[in-house]
Amino acid sequence: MTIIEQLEIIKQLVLKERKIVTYEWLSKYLNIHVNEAKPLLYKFVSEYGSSNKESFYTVYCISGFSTINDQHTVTLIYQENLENIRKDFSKVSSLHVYSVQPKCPTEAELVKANQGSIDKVSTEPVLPSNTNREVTLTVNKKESSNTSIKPDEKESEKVNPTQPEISKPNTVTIKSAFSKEKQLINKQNDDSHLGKATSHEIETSKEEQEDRQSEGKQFVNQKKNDKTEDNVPQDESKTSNKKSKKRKSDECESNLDEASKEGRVNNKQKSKENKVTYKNKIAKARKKNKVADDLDLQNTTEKFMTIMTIDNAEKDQPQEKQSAVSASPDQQSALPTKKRGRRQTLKFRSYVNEKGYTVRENYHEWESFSEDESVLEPPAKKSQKAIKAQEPKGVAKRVKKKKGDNGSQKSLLNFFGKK
Amino acid sequence: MNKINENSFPVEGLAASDISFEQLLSKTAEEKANVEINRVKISYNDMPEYRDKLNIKKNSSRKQYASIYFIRYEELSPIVLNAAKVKWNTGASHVDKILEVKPDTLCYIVGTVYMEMQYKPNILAEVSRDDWEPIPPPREKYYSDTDEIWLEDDSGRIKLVGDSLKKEVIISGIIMAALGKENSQGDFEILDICFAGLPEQINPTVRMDADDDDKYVALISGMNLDTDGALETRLQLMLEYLTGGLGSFPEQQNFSSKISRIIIAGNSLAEVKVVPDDKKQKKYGYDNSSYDAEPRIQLDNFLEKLCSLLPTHMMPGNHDPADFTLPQQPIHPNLLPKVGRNPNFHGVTNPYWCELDDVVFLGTSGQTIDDMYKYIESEDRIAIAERTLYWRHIAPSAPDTLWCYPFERYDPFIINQMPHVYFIGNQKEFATSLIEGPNQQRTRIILLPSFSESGVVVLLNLKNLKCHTTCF
Repeated sequence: MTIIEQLEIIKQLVLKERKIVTYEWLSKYLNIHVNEAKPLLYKFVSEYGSSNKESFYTVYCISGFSTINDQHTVTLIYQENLENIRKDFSKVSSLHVYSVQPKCPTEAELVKANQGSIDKVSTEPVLPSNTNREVTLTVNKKESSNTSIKPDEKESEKVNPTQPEISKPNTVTIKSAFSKEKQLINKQNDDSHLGKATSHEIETSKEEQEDRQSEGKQFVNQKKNDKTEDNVPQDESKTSNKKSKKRKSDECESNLDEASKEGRVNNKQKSKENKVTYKNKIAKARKKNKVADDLDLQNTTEKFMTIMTIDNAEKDQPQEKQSAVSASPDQQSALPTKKRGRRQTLKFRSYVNEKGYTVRENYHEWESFSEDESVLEPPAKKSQKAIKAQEPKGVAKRVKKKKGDNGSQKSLLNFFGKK
Repeated sequence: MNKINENSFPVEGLAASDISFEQLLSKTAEEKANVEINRVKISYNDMPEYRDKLNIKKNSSRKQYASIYFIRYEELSPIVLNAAKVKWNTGASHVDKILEVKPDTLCYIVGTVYMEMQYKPNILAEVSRDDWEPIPPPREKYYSDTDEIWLEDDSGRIKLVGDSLKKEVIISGIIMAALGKENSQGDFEILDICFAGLPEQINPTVRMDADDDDKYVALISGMNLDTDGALETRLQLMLEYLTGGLGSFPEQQNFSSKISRIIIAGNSLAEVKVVPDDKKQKKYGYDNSSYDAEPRIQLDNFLEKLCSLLPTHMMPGNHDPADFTLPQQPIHPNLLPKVGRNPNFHGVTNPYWCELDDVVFLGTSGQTIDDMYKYIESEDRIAIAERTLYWRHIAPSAPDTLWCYPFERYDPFIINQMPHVYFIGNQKEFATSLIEGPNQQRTRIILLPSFSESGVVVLLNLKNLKCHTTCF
């Protein structure tokens, strides 16, 4: 392509798309050597700089012997300081344009500009209609840590312009759902998934966009379900019932198949499933020791339900509460109400050994136990409360980090009770 | 100590300040034919005889530290003895065992120095301190007027006194010969002291021909990447400069493309400071939610870009995720997943010996000199570095005040050949000097400043061992 075409491209990039164009980025974009990109930028600056209609800002790089530092110095100069700083250099070994941008950039923006992803090396003339295809998503960047990006820029970048208007709201909601879930899920996993997701999105073709529209709506609904499922595994790792989890994950799996094109969701589901299976193993191991298998389902289902309801009460999600509440009485009426099983208890006995000393020793023993029926008969609400009362006894140790509400002590101050 | 001045500015024939901007800025446009440049190559030998000693295979710390002193004495005392004989043989006689020193006879003895200092961290004092007493803050210097110097060998020890001691730099752990006589109180009055002296140098005259190209090695230390997030522009400029993007064509041709390697001498990650957060619930013990992997990931990204275009050697420092004891093992490649297995990236030990194009490099990340600095009154760090070459030992204060691994069979810090370049990282400011020895040895000593504070990268010309600093 000719120089004129290249200059035109630069003009588009800087003025229309408001990008920071560094020589390095430009060389990758136009597929030219950096040493060609630098004079090209200079040509652009000199030709278009004079016209006052559309202005831009230039940053130069100078390298030479600086009298201030008394050593060879390489530094960036903003356009207004060019003359001044030049005076400080007794010998100048190189001076070239570093970048061109619509307005004076901050340091962080300059650094970031080089990392901008280049989706396509442009070999065709840039037309106005194609400008929307440009994506400046940075693959490695994390939302939360990048304070240098201005919020409006971020939003406009994240709302992916590769898809037509209709699917935009869906993608936004999915993303916002994700940003909320960040608290619960490991930040890094989430962001790396997002990063992967964005790169996936870059590559989606227009055919898939239509599919995505329909799926997108499905997903918005599903996300809400998934969200609650997320809450639960995060808060109690050990009491998670594998059966009820499997129910939910089965549900998700069926949706998954339809939605296999959303790479991000796949990752998320996998991570969830992995978490679920790992927790299942823990739960399973514990259960083995304590409660018989045949009653396992019922006990833990109930516990899970009640825990879920407690949880949801805290998290303030009326939807799930309703469903859980409605589920639990059904569960209870369907299942036998006695709790029976074998458990390991600590007992001690004393005896006289051969030397004549009385020895007292502790030992564990398996014994069977059963709990009263009357506790479980009353209606749903009361039963929840009763079970809740019972629950801390058996479950206290297994429940991990729940805020406040359980028997385990979170900090020293909790020992003294709430004031 | 010479500071680098304008005379050594490497890029020749360049613009004085009266050339106009247009000419400068559009200069590269004329030389279209010569747009592409290739980087120079140099050979690399990682000196297996040293590398094997510095890489610890079995990680057993359940050993006594006495062995390392014994080995040090065994290896260095014959050398010191020879040097002493050459220096003093006419006047005095050598006494084999310190215990056999007789009062009032002039003689010389060889032994290991031990300094008794009240401010030196003492393990016995730590153990006997009551639990409720607060830990005393670390002192900047252990030096005080009440310090005593003792000379020990395998038979016994004797206290050294004398005014000439004050002029010399003396550290615990060096092997030294002392000439003097025992006085009535049982102390040894010193008249003169002698050290092992500079070791031999293999290939003393660095053999570059005049018409060979200049070849540079970049030395940097103390990048101190932190949790702030954005890479500073300085680091970005440095990266672009070294990988060949930045700079006009003449500079690239004459300078940037001649940089063949970079050695990072420690502290690539900043020191982790846990900020106490009142909102967070207090967790006793290790709070693993306070770990932030961001700096390491940034470092990984940075190194990936760097070593794709410039072979990199990275040494660990005292802030880096590597062992605390010397010799620090290379940073594990899994901590830097992108570059760890890249053949252009070499994770190396601290201290580090290597040979680039027949020029022997010896470097540390600064802990050795920083520790020795606490023993003496003066502020002159480059003098300490010179002294270590005379003592033939990189870290004599190990294991006394500098943590090190309990070696049983060898002491890896002994310098038995004179390096051509001796660099120490993470110092306060840049300093360099050229030592010349009696047998034509020439060594360039370089103290590297921390990049995060000064923005300085040191470029060493392999041809003539000249140093050049570039500030970003």
